This record gives sequence, structure tokens and C-alpha cells, in this order.
Amino acid sequence: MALSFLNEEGQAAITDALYFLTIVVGLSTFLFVFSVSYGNLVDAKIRQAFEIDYTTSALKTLFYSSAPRDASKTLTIKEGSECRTQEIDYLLALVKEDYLNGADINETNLLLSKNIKTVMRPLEKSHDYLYYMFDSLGNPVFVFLHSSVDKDGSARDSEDAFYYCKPRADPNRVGDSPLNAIRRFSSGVGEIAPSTIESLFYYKTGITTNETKLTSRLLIWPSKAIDESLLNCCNASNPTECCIEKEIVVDEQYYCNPAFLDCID
Amino acid sequence: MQRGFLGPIGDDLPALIPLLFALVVFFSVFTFAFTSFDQKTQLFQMHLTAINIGRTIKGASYISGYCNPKLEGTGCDALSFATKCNQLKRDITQVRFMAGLIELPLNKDEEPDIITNFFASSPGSPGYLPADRPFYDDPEDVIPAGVEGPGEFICSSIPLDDELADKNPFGLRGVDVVSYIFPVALETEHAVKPMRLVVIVWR
Repeated sequence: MALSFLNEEGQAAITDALYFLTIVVGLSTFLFVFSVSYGNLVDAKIRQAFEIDYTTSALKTLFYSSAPRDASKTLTIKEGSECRTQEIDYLLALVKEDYLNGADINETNLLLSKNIKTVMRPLEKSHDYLYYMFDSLGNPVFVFLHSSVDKDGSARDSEDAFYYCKPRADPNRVGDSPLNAIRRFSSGVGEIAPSTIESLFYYKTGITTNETKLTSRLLIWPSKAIDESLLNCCNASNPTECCIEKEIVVDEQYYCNPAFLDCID
Repeated sequence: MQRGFLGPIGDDLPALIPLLFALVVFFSVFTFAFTSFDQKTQLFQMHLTAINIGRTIKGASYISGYCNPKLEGTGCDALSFATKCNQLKRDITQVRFMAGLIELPLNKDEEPDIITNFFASSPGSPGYLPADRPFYDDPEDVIPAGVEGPGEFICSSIPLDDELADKNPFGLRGVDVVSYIFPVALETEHAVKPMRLVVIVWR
């Protein structure tokens, strides 16, 4: 009887120990999982802070930068040992001049796309981006898209693809606008880091001073397969395909902006 | 004598094995978690410091030159690189850093021989090379020459001397290195040019 009692006491002790072990292993597993995942959110926030910082800097750098008045020329030219400046201006000033000369961006397409490519080059292999400019009525006046991956999501074998786009409103949606087409596109590309800059342009008609506003927005996101047809895009490196005014038909011919035909560089 | 009875402790000896095992498991995981928290917190601090260094130097993304004289008084104006660099050297003491400008030419063919994208490959993957390694190895080669003199647009918490290469954080075991790149406009004699601001922070 006494022996049997002692044995039961021993079994109780080992059962307690096994319970203790189970609880401790459970807690340890929780602690382990927590410590491994700790900081993922902070990491994502830091990355997002950097991306927004980058896009903001990129937009400011873009417009602060000088650009040659002739898009086919460089900023400076070497004459012997001397470095001579070409005829240049701030890119923003050239955009203003171009926009006020017909409420569209025609002459500065190439300059804008060249400068956008330049400031975005450090991120171009890991991120895609969309740069667009729209007026105070919400009409896009310049849309430029970059994609570094193929339709199947793999990295492109050749050069990255650059597109000029002319988004259109969906006729099947009541009250739709081209800007909504851009919003629909950007909502499908994943986590975006956006930055916006508004430029207020003053101009004179007669003795009155008027103002108009152009808003520039740059969105970046980690590279993924995209459907550029949503934005009605044409490949910038394909001169036969890429005419931003292709819906404008003159004498039954598509009208192509000559600046766009230069974009093959 | 009672058969099989080993005494109050001896009788519970088998129960001590899972007990001790549980304690070993718990303290191992606890130590791992504590070390992991500590390392990650330090790394986050380095990331934030690097971003702050970038924000301080680029300011409104416009650098007026290395040292443009103030309109009134002596010294460099607030947009000058030197002013921002001096401020950083005073404020950042917890980590070592190096920051500088590299040309970002409009023509891609003129790009310096440097890997421009530090996100494209991740640490541990074959061929990983932080974008800024060439910048560190030979900063005077990649800093734009002819603007204010080679090597001027660099701000470092360590002296830029002949022993710089010995202090190279890249490749040193146990040294965490964080690097960021930002675009910035630099006013030069001829034009305002887009530049690349590289920030490297290590502990």
C-alpha cells in the first residue's frame, strides 16, 4: 500500500514536470516567433519613409535642374579645354513656356522624360514608377511610365520599358475621367509611395494677370508585372508606335509629335 | 527498508529532466530574443540616422555650392554643403558616417562604373555589392571634379586620410552598414545639375 502510494507521488511529479515543459515550450515558441517577426512593421515603415523621401527629392531635383532649350543638345559643350554652357533654362520654366503655349506639353516631352529617367535611375532596377502632370481641371497633360519587369513578372532581358501614355475615361462608367483611369491603374500595382508638387504659373493676357496650376505626381512601387494598356500607353522606344497625339487624325494620318520620334535614344 | 525508494529527491529524479530541459529551452529562446531585439533596434536606429543625414544634407533638395558666403557676416550660407556637413559632424556621434555627391549624368552611358541600385540584390545573394562601395573605396574618383575641386563634396565623421581603406566598413565581419541614395540638385558654375547623394552609416 505504502509503495503504491509512493509510486503515484512519483508519477504526479513527472506529470507536473511534463505540464511545465509543455507550457514553457509554448511560451518559448511564442517568444521565438515574436522575436523573428519583430520589426517587420518598422522595417516597412522605414522603407516607405525612404521611398517618399526619394520621390519628393526626385520631383524637386527634376524642376530645379537646368535643361537645354534644344532637347537634342547637352547642358554644356567642350570647346578645347573650355566648358561652354549651351542655351539653358530651368526645366520648370521650359515646361511653363510649353504649357502656356497651347495647354499641353509638346515641346518638352523629351526633356521631361530624359530628366525623369535620370533622377530615377538609382531605383530603376527594383522599382517601377509613374510620373504624371495634370491641370486644374484634372486633365492629364503628360504621363510617363517605367516598367522593369515583363508581363510574367520576370526581369526584362533587354532594356527597361518606358511608355508615354494618354489615359482615357471609361465610357462605361458614369462621370469617369482620365485621372480616374490613372487612379485605377495605381490601385492595382501594390504599395505605392506618392509625392506631389503643385506649380502655379502666372501669365498675362492684356493687362490682366492670370494664373493656372499644373500638378506633378510621382508614384513608385516595387517592380511587378503591370498592364500598361489601362493607361493607353505606347512604347517610348518604338517611334512607329509612339505618338502621344495618335487619336488626333489629320488628313487621315496620325499626327506624331516630332519630339517623341526622337525618344529612341 | 522500502524497496525502490531513493529518498525525497531521488524519487523525483525523472521529473527533474523535463524540468531542466524546459528551463534550458526557455533561457535559450529568451537570450536569442533579447539579442535579436537589440540588434534590430540598433539597425533601425542606423537606418533612421542615415535617412536623417540624407534629409539634413539635401534640405530642400537644392545645394547652392560647397560654401557660398553669407550675405551678411562671415561663413557659408545655410544651403551650402559645408554648413550642413558641420552641423552633422556636431550632431551625429553614435555612429560613423560618410556622405557625398556623385554625378548623375543625363546620358546613361556617362554613368560612372558603379552599381546604382542597392535594392536590386540583397545581402547574402551572390554578387551582392553595396552601391556605395566604390564611393567609399575611392571617394575622390567619384566626386564630381571641376565643380569646386575634387573630393570637396564629401562629409565624413572619420578623417579622409591615407588609412581610409583600412577603416572600410564593407566586408568587415560584425559591422552593420546601411546606405541610402537620394537625388539632389547642385548649383554649379554652368548649370544646376541633378546629382546623387550617397549616405553610408556604420557602427
